Amino acid sequence: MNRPVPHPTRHLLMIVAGFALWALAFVLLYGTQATGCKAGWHLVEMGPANLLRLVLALLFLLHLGAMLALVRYLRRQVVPMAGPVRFLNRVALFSAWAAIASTLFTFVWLFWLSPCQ
Amino acid sequence: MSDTLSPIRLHKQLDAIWGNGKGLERLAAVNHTVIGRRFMITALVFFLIGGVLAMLIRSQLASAQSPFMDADLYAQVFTMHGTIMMFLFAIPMFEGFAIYLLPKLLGARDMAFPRLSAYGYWCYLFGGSMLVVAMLAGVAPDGGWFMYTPLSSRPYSPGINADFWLLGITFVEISALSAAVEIVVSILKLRAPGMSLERMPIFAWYMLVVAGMMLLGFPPLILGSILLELERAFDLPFFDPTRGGDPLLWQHLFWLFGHPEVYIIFLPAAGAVSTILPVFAGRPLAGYRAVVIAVIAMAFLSFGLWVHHMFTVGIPHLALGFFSAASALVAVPTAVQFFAWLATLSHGRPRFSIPMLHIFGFFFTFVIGGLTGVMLAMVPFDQQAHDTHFVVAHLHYVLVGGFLFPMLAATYYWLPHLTGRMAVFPLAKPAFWLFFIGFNLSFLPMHLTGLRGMPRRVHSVLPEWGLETLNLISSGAAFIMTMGVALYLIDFFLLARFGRIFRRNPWRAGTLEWAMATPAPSYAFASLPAVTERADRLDADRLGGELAAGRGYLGFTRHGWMETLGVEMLTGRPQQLILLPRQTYLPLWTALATGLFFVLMLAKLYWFTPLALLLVLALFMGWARQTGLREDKGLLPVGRGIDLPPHGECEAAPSPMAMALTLTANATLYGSLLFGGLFLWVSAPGWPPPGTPQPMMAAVGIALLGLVIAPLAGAQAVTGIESGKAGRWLWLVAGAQGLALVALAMLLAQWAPDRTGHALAAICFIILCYVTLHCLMGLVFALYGRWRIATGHVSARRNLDLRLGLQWQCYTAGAGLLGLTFIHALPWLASLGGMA
Repeated sequence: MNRPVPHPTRHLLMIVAGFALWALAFVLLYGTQATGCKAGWHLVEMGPANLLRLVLALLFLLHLGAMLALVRYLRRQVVPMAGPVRFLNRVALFSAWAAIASTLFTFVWLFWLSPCQ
Repeated sequence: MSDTLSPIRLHKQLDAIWGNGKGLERLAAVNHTVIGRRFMITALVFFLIGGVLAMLIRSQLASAQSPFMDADLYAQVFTMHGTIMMFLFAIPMFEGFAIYLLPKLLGARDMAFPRLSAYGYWCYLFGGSMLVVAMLAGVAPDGGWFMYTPLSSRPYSPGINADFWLLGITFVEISALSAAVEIVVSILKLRAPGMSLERMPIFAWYMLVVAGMMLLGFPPLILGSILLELERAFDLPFFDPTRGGDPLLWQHLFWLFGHPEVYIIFLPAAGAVSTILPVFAGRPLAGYRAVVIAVIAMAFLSFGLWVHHMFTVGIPHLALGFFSAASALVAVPTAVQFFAWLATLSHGRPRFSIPMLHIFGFFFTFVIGGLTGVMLAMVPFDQQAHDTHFVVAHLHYVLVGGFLFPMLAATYYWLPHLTGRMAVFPLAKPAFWLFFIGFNLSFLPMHLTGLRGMPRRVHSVLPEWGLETLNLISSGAAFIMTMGVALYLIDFFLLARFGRIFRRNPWRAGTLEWAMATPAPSYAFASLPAVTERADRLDADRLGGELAAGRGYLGFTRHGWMETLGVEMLTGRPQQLILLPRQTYLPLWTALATGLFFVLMLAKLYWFTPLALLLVLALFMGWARQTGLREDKGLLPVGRGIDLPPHGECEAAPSPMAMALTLTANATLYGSLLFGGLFLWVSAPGWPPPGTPQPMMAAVGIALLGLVIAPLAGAQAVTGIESGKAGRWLWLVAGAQGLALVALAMLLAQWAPDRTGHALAAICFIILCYVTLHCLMGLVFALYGRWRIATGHVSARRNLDLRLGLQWQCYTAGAGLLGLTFIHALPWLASLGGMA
């Protein structure tokens, strides 16, 4: 039998952490876009962009940062050479990378598409 | 408990405990093999009904301006076809498949909550029957399977048709949610000792992810159905744009469920392919870990596509970009699975067989459906093809390719397990080719008719469209497909009745379900295996003999208990002895009482519905009477030198996890409701309303006090069992909830007069109703805890009842705080509405 693992729930939740951040980014960016349009943030010019695009960009970068932090945390985790903890750690790590790629591909449009038309 | 038994004696002893009765006693069955089989057979019956409706549709469209059906009847027929195929066939079919198969694949004797499986089945049967009865009575739903408002709202659908859909589907979805909870807990807790997560059969990973998706995907639909029924029954204007509502809110709620639903249907079928294909390739699945990651990715991405059904409703470019990108992106994890299957085949020595023939059908058809899906993900193309027969072709290629062909492969693969017989008549091949050719000839031309502008859901093809030939081909081919279905049915019957009896493991598979006698005995495994490698590489023949001889865990009987093992969810280390409930009629009675509630709603006898709900509650209390021990048992031997506590004395018992999952689904519903309020604020016309009540601060304060005290006192009750103070703390919980209820009643009275005037008041009113209902249940949990203490079911070790109550009180406090904040925040946000 394998040795007991101290935090089974945490290890299990880690495998969805990357995509959970992607989902959170989705909800926040879509919600902010709609709310910003309602509030007229897109009409507030701020240099080459407008307030809404800046807020969206900030949210996007924050999520990317959080995902990179997750990858860093998973890479630094001390895990056994084999067994379920290692398996889950690898799944969590590659899922997180996939989530980062998904985040870039899904939301990169916020830098140039019109937010309110 | 006896020490050594012959396999036959062990079988007799176990069957006496686990076996189902004869005659009417069959209705008391809770066994997963029986319930799974019932789900599948019932789903097959609904499939045949849906198939007949499809033939009616194709008959109508076979010629221009056909007088076969009038528009009203045609609307009922296509609505019922879609509704039956999606809600009454596809989902219940894989639920039954999973309920039948999962314990056997995982090395357990049953699912975690057998009575819940049975209750889910009865809800499904009764809810589905309601819809079919409506169809036979000529009052079937007729607004399309997605029931868009305002068409389905009272002014445009004044009859009872839409109510049948809203209430019937909600009734059926109880079974989906109960199955989801059951599946997650069973996979994580009820596995064979040693089966750590990385050793699980890949099908279990698929089902774990799918069940998680169901927990998050179905609540928005249930909420949408409740809101629309409330609008139709009580005039609360959630979707009425003249009173601050918005029909698009329905589309959001529906597709928040509806798009993940496609993947909820596809993934179990893909799981079956990932299980079957390696067996015939003669090597384990390539890229097991990559497939797990792909399935997780697919699950999440599928929740980010819902608006691609709404590309034409007028959404800003940026939002279109998000949803279009996510829609295209989901092809990537799908492709990962395809490459894993191809790699498995290319590295193995494939054997040809009937299941493999159907897997070929799946590859061919699903790839076409997937590619047209990527086309539809592109906004400019979708805007051209939206609501045309191109979409009809696409969705049928996806669903028939992604579900029906794999399920046929699964049927031919596991029918020997269900029946104990192998096919001897060569009917499967002609059935396949008739079905395959008929399907492609029928649906491939629809891409063309769609691109040439033929709209969906119209009952009459006009001659000037020039589409008669293509439609005639589609209709004729649909009948070829039907002949294929008829041949399949004959083949299944011949196999079950006259097939060749085999001894064990006819496909030389390495999974545990073949390490048992077939058809499966009621107890599944005479003793439970110890798994030491990945559970798709096992020697099922050798294991089968050993387990039947009782040389695994629990190879004996004790006190007439129905026993299986619970394991630590990561490592598979044995952790607890799970005692399952015996056969009972209670799930049937409870489902009947639940059905009574829906029938009363349908009959508009609203004042009687609380009586039905009380009856449901009382019957659920009856379930509790049959559950739990009245004394601490300590450690009990489970075989192979290991002693474990019964689950009631174990910290990691299955029920707290089930409660957490239920509350997660509940929170999703609540979150969708709050989203609905915010969506209306942002998008609906007629905001802000002219006047909004300011919530009474005194009532809010009292409600908050009660909501906060209840979980604090509940926690004290759990820790105070040993000192004998738990009962008193539970009285405090009940008092606190009572206090909150009084305050909430005052707030409800304040908001009630405005609830039909504007959507804002309606949303706030419903949020208050939601919190009130939870407080009421919190009160019930407190009184239930008192009752369990009084009947001796609670001790310092056996504290599950109080812990479950505490989970509820904590959730209620959180939901209450959020809700009371929201009813302040929404009117304030509404007052900012004119900023832009």
